[in-house]
Amino acid sequence: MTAPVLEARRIDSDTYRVVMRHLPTGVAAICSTDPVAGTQNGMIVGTFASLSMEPALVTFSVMHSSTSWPRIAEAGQFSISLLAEDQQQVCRALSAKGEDKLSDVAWSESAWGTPHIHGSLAWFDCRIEQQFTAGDHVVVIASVLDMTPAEGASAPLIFHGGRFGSFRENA
Amino acid sequence: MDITPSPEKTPDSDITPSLYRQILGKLPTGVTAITGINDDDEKLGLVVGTFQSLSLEPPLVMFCVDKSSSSWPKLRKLQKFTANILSDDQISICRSLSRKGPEKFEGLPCAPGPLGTPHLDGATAYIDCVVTAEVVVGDHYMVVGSVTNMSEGTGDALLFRGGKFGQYLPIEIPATEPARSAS
Repeated sequence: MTAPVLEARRIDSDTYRVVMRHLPTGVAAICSTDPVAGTQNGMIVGTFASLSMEPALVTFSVMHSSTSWPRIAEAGQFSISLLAEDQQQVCRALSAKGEDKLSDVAWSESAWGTPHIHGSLAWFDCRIEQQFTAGDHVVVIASVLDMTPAEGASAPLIFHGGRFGSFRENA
Repeated sequence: MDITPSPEKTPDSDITPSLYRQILGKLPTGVTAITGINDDDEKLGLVVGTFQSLSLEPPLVMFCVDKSSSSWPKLRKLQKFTANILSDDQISICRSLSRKGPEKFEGLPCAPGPLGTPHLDGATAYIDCVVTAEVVVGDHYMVVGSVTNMSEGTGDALLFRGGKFGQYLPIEIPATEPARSAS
């Protein structure tokens, strides 16, 4: 591989974090049920994004060192619960290390056999189509098997500037 | 490279574009202007809601852009861009750059960044990148940029959700519970 003509100035982790804190993100819970053990695995991402309408695809990225993602991925099918502003506790429970992270979270099983976290804004049932490594993360491309909006309108949970918040629509 | 799943492998689903739009509209996003300048000093720009952090080591970012974009093919040729994270007083700039056609950059105040690419005055952050990878996925291009420079700007980020612009609304969190990074 040839080096770019404009050699990258070394950007330290602190600078990256400080600047990228300016980008607000939604918060999504990625969950699946282990097909053999029947237990639930879950993790939180701040990188869930729309990707393609035809075919229906979504994307997110995970740290390549994540121990949760390989376990979630093993099921083949997984769910994405888009978190609402009052679901910070879900975010904390799923961000923690350890087994059985959904034990203190209210959820029910979807027709696809995936866990849907109660109180979320929308649920996506997905199948992994592609994964590729980019630096210290893995980019996941998933096809959407089904998507369901919650009834009623709630505000989303937003992570921004190192803090949780919500969305205030412009007048 | 096209990594779109082959049609025979893609699940049959009744997800129409309008349902996709309706439900993905619930996802709040930042608003980021991807800007560049060509050899004729023509400034180019497009707006995406899919700009994301990707990797810390090495520093990478990514975004997705609709295949129908007329600006991206021109920006792609330059192989470098600035991601300007727009602030909540830059709605008019977002609207200008979202238009189709030439001269949409007309009159927008900006200054050249370290790569020569335009930094829009008043953005909350500037991330200068060279394109390291691009793949076709479905009806979008997925672009990965290697970060060469990054700096903070001014103001607070503009948000977009459900077809509406908005702002970040802080939630009071007890000080004893540190917010975890949602990476």
